Amino acid sequence: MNRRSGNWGEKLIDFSRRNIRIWSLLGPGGALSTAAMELGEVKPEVQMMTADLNYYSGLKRFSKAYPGRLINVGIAEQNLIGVAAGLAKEGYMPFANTYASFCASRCVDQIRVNMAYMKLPIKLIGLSAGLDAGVLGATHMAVEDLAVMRSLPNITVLSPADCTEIIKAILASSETLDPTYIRLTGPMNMPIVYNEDYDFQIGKAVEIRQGRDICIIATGSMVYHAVRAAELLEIKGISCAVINMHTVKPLDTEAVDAMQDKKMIVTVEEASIIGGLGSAVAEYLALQKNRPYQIMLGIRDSFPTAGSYDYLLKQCRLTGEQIAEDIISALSRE
Amino acid sequence: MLGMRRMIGPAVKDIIERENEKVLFVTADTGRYFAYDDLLRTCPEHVVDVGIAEQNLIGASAGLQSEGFNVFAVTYATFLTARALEQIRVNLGYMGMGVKLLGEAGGMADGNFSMTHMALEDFSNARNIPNMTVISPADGMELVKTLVALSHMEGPAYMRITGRFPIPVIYKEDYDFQIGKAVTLREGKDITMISNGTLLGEVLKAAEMLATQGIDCKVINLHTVKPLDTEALRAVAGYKLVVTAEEHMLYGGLGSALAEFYAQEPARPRMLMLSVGTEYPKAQEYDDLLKACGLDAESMANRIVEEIQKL
Amino acid sequence: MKSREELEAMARRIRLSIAQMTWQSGLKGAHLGGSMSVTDILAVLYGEILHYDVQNPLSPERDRLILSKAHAAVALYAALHEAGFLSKDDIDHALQGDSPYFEHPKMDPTHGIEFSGGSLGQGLSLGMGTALGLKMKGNTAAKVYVILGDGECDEGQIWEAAAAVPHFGLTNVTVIVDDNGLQFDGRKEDILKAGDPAARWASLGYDVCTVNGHDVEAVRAVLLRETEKPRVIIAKTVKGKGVSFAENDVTWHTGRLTDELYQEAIRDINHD
Repeated sequence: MNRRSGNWGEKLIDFSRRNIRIWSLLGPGGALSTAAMELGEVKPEVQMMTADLNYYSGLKRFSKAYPGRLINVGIAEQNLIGVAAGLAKEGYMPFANTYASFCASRCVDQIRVNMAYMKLPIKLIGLSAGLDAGVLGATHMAVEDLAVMRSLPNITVLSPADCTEIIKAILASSETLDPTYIRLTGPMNMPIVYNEDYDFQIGKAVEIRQGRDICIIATGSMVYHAVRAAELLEIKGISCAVINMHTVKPLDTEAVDAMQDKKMIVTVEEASIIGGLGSAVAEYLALQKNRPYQIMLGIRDSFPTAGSYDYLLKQCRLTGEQIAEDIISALSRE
Repeated sequence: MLGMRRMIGPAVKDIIERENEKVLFVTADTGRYFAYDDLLRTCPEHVVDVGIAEQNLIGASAGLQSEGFNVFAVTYATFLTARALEQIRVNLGYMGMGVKLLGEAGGMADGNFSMTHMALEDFSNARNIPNMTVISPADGMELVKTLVALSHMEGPAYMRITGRFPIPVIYKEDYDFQIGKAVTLREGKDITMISNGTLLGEVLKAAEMLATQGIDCKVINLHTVKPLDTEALRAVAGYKLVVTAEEHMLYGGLGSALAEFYAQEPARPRMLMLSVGTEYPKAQEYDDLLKACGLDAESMANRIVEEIQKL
Repeated sequence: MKSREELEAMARRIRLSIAQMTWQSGLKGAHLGGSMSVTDILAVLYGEILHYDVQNPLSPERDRLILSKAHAAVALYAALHEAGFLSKDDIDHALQGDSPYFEHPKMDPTHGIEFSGGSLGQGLSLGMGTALGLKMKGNTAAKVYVILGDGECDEGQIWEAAAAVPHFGLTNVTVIVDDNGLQFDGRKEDILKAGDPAARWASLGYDVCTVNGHDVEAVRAVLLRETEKPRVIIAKTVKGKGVSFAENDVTWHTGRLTDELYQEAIRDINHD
């Protein structure tokens, strides 16, 4: 990447089709690494932090390029948040990462006090959110992180759809002092949603696909699968819009309003159907007159058994084909 | 009427003596809050205190439960559902250990200690754990019934207690209590108000105020937030407005649970979700906090009138 | 350097403020016991040791004090009043109505309160992060002081941070343990034995010493010691110190002062 002049880090990364394909191959860790390298260059206040997941989070390259700017606190997630808070108070912008399952459960009290209450500018990155680390079993599957983070005040919750969007989300979050949680879903060889550069703004959903009959509001890894499902539904004569709700909090309620005339709204997330994106949309629609029928697809209220990512997606009915099937059954019920 | 927390020590002692001798009272340096002195004196082998260590509280409780005991793990609601959330998820949710969590100062009861001691996301955090029962009793009578029911229940549960002394009396006479079964406290035909915990005292008062304005409110005590009493919810789906009231942040709690439920139903009533809101309230006395968040009877009644005018 | 009498007089004034704030909070009460035990330490810190400037409260060179055992808030407010950060009016209205000074400190660096507190076990992590930030900025002037409770050391997170401070070479950190031997449910040694805390801290790489937490000159002397390692000062204290009916009494973790008890407390404090 050649350095060019510009006051926003993103302008220094070339969002070419070629790079987009490379990032997709590398997966979320590679995307995090790319964004980190950029932040290291343009934002001296940024500190990367981890809880013994230096290699897993793809930050080995960063730690070599920017010595002293990756802080590893060891397997100590509560301390991770507290140390991030101390650094933030001293004028730094810490980007702290650990497994999303630990963000959402091991250090919630610390997130609550330091991010939600004290509003310190900590950016928390949840690695392997959803089912990506599923081979390790339920302890490493983060399915409630959206719910936990959403109920806490003052925390922006981002859930990027592909590796390109991961980079944009991380860079965009560095432009605010808002405490932020960024959940990274998807495997290496993460499917591409955006083939070319586009305008990303925190809080503004992206209409990926237009449609008349129904609308799928998806987030994270599920955006790709939602598009697949929409294509399959088109063949069956059902015209399906797809919205990428990358910012789960604050929810883009205007984007939801625009879809209220549809026969049915479908929310899809690689997360529990309790408390997450589906819940956010349902909470908003509940206040409206004549709210459309909504079905919530995601991980049902149970712990999936350990398995590979692809196996688990199928078990949880989150492939494009299965999403299309579930939509068709719901339409026939309604 | 005692505050709820000071009823717990004596109630657990009673349960040990009369219902289930395998019950243990396990706490993280907060035993005295729950008036456990008598329990400690008469059945010390039923009390375990792990010190100010909530994560260890859950692990130790799970270990005890796996050895055949019936554990009540007792401390502040927020330290259970935020500080020890992973331990609860893994031991109670994932491994299914039937520990019963009793959380004091649910909502804003200890509000003068600031949000650090207020549980305002506990419904959200607890209900997304698979296998967890989530419950908030309305008054002293319901508290005792809940504890007895929990002492005979297999699976894990989280019980939130609310309110400050003196807590309102909701049930003036005995009634049939079952975990998972909502209780209609007041019949009405215009709108339905659904709530739980001691806030029901304010909700019932609001219903009375609304009655004087010609608005007839049904009031339901949905003490069990998980599993939801879907029959009771379907029965009120035809009302022109369903109002939820909770001492909880706006997102993820009781209102959210109902919004999720109705979203997928053929009959989807319009909702109004009354809550603490989207910002932490300042540290204050409990009664002032209720007013500051619009959860006192008068504020709720006014808000409902406003909303009905928009329908 | 202040004389012993001056420091003791300051501690006395802090105790009187604590009693006043506890009494004026009415039925709520306050955390009297743990506030009285840390008073002499705070008197020495604010009277002699900490570098701060009330006219320039956010000065980067200021020392940072983190009261991890945040329920001793009234002691902190009283000390901050002595230092000039809080006014008499602030003290007279504390713990009442919508005063910003309530049971647990809320972050307000312009008034000397570095972080919000209340959930135990988190302050040493904040101290570690702060100290690391200072080190990275090349700020060798500012020091970080973290006050823990001995009961608070039950918490696991304390030890996550305890290992990290020396590991990251943060020699600008001083941990003071207000070791009053009691916690809410009883004596520390009856609730959860700590083994040999001095040895535990030392094994992690701290310079550890033990001191009588109510001897202002002894406390000052240990705080003035230069060391090459981060420090832990285990201050042996008495919960409720200065108020005869509360001393060493588990039930005075929190307590209410009636008019009579308040007068008795004032008499006790003035006689010390």
